[in-house]
Amino acid sequence: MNFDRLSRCLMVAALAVPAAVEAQGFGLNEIGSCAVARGFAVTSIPCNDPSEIYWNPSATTALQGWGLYVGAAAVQVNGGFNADSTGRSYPSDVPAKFPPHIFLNYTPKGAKWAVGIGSYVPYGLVSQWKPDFPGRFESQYASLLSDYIQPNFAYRIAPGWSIGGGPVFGISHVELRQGIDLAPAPLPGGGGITFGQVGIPTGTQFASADLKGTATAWGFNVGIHGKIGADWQIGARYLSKLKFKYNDADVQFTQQLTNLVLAAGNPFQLPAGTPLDALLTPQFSPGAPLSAGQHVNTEIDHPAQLQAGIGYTGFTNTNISVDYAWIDYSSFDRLAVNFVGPANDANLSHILIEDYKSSSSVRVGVEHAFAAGFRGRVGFDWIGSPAPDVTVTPLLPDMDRRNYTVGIGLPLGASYTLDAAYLHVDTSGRRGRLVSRTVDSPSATASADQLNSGFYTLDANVFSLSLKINF
Amino acid sequence: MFCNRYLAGGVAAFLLASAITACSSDNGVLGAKPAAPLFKTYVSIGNSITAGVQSGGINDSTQMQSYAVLIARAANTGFRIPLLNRPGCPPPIDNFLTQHRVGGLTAEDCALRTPTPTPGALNNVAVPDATSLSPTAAVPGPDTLVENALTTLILGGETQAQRAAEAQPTFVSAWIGNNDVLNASLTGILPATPGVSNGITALPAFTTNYKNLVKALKAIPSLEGGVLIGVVNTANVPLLFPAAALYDPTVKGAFDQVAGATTVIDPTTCPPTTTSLINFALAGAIRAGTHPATVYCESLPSPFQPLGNAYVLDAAEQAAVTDTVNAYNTLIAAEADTLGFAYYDPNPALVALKASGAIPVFPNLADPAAPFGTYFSLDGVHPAAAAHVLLANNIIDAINAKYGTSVPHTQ
Repeated sequence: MNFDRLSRCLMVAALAVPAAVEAQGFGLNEIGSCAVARGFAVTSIPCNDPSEIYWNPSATTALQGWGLYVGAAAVQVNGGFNADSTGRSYPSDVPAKFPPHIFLNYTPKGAKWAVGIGSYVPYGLVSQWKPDFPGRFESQYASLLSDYIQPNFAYRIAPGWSIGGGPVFGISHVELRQGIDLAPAPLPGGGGITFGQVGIPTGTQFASADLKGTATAWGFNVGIHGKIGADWQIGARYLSKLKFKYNDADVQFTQQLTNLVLAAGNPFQLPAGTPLDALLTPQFSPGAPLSAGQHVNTEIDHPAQLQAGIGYTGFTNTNISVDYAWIDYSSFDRLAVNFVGPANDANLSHILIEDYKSSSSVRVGVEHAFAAGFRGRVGFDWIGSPAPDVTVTPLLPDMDRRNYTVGIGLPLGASYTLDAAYLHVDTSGRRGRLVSRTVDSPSATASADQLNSGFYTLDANVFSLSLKINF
Repeated sequence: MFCNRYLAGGVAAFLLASAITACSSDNGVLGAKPAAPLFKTYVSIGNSITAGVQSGGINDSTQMQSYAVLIARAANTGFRIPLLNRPGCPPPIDNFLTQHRVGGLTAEDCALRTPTPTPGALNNVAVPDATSLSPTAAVPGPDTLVENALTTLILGGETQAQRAAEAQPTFVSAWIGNNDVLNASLTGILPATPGVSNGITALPAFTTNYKNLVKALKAIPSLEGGVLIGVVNTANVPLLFPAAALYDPTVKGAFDQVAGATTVIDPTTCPPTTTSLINFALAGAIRAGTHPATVYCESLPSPFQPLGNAYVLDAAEQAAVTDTVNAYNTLIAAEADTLGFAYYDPNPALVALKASGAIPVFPNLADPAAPFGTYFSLDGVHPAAAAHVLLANNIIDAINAKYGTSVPHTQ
């Protein structure tokens, strides 16, 4: 039995993930509330807190003494899908998530160097749809949390110029829950005829699949920062690709009753009254394609990031920065999902076509230091989607985004500063599909017009809080 | 009326069809904005006419000509159809004389369903052969007499009412009941006779069945309106021709040509003034040797039964069918009132077509591609595309009159 749809789902499971909101693809940028408030345009004029370890590893030489920066963001995604054929809307059901960040840095007074360590989540998030969502066979729930841990060393190579960086150790957790559609599954002994061709409607869920996997990977993050004259600063950072190999990820199949009963004269040539579920139960028996205790191997490349920016500090108490970010999603073109066990023997292993392309974003941020002692921040981003028109899916209905950010930095005594930020993600929506696209299937050569069957909408609100402690 | 034995040769037909439809991405009619909010989601319940049977077969071409599809198109509302691959399931007849079917296949063949690319509820849930009992009867229910492979192929293990509810319709049309009288009319044997005739569904049973359908419709919370369509007086189907026409030598010659014999018109039961109707299938039975080459127009006494009874609808039987259909339609009209639905009686339009000569009294064998004219298909029972357009526009008129909508006519 070749549950084609299942395998395609699982491959996606492994690979892509949820509706990340503020960055390209499944990127996640809310790493430090100051950076969020300034629209992430912080490589040239850093935020003056230890989150520089991520945003520009070289800039920590400008910090002083010990510094701890800790916080989290509350991410609430709102989205939906409007089906062409029925006009019906399906709102998403995404739970709020709280990606954390923590950074510790030490820059000795008068020293040219700095050391630190940070933990942050540059890729991840969650997508979840309600049980009646017709795209639940692609993804009903998906979660990716990729935590990067980065020791950092920075050195001032010349007055106003620093370099820095460090290795990155990534730990990635992925979870996917999805329905399995009976319609595309071949009839046992049916010569390739599917259940759908004998009347089982597309979207007849007869099982669910839960996949959970963990992987680790190594990479690096480096940066350079410099001052040009009194009023201009430039900076750049490069975070390398991390290749996560989710080996032996657990897959659990659970039968769900269709409660369909065969009528007289049915094409299965079975007696009237035969429950369809009775035909399917053997597929979950030990050794059968959907038996318990199986595993799957796959890889998800977390793309490299390059961000460079220029900032102007010539205005009184105000600085302006502009960044350009490039994410190398072009490596995310195919996704192989290789089952281990009976599922593989049943030819369930597949290759998902993603065909992502590298994407760009432009980030602008402004910060003003008010006389009362607090700092006000605003920002704007335009983010190009790496997903082609043919790869807008329930798992990741990616689309061009506009970020509007605002925030405040509030000193709490001599050693503490509370940063708060709000980010609103705005989109124009995008047409997308509900079905998978795999190698060696008719969908592989299908166009976006042929595959896309509705319109995805997406917006999000992010609240971020961080506490900076100097000691 | 529909056969019950398709799938035996289905795989071969499927292989043929799959090459044609492998990249199909559409399973129905797309609508951007309905002509009226009432038509946000439209579901049609029914039997072979609603499903799109023509010429004794059904495929994605005939399905798209169904009046229900035409109404959906006119209303500009999305409409998902359980499309059946060409050549069909079974393929329609394309030559009345030879009974040749599309693709050269047989009545046993079925090319199966077109794979649906995306999940979504069906809008046309009608199933060929469905009777008044079918839409709400459990699957399998007491309606096994008429359940067939298409019941599963279209409904996939649920009832029409269940599939209709899944679509969360705002508007529904229901045309059910024709098969409660059709088989009896065509066989000429009105009492239910196992293996011979399904008989006529008695009015109390029909009433119970129909009220169950109405109850099921009332249980759909999204429903805002609908139209109930009356039962066709099956004594008027073109396949039944006046026995008196056989006194026309031209007609008699044509009948004998198909019968493969020089038939005898029984002068006792078939005087020139007879009003009996003969099912043209009698000619096939004579050719097949299952009926003597004599045409009887009244039931013969025992032991000669069923001669003069089978294939013959005499005056009394026609009256019985007509009375039954009228009683059915009185009930349906009343139920439409109860629901606040529109009601449409198709019989005046069909009778007018016959009276106008648009439907020949006797099949035109000189035109084996359209022996019953342009309004009826080659099986002499199911409407052809032109009749579906006529029906759709008449039903649209009834809907517009009831709800004050402005759904345009279809072309």
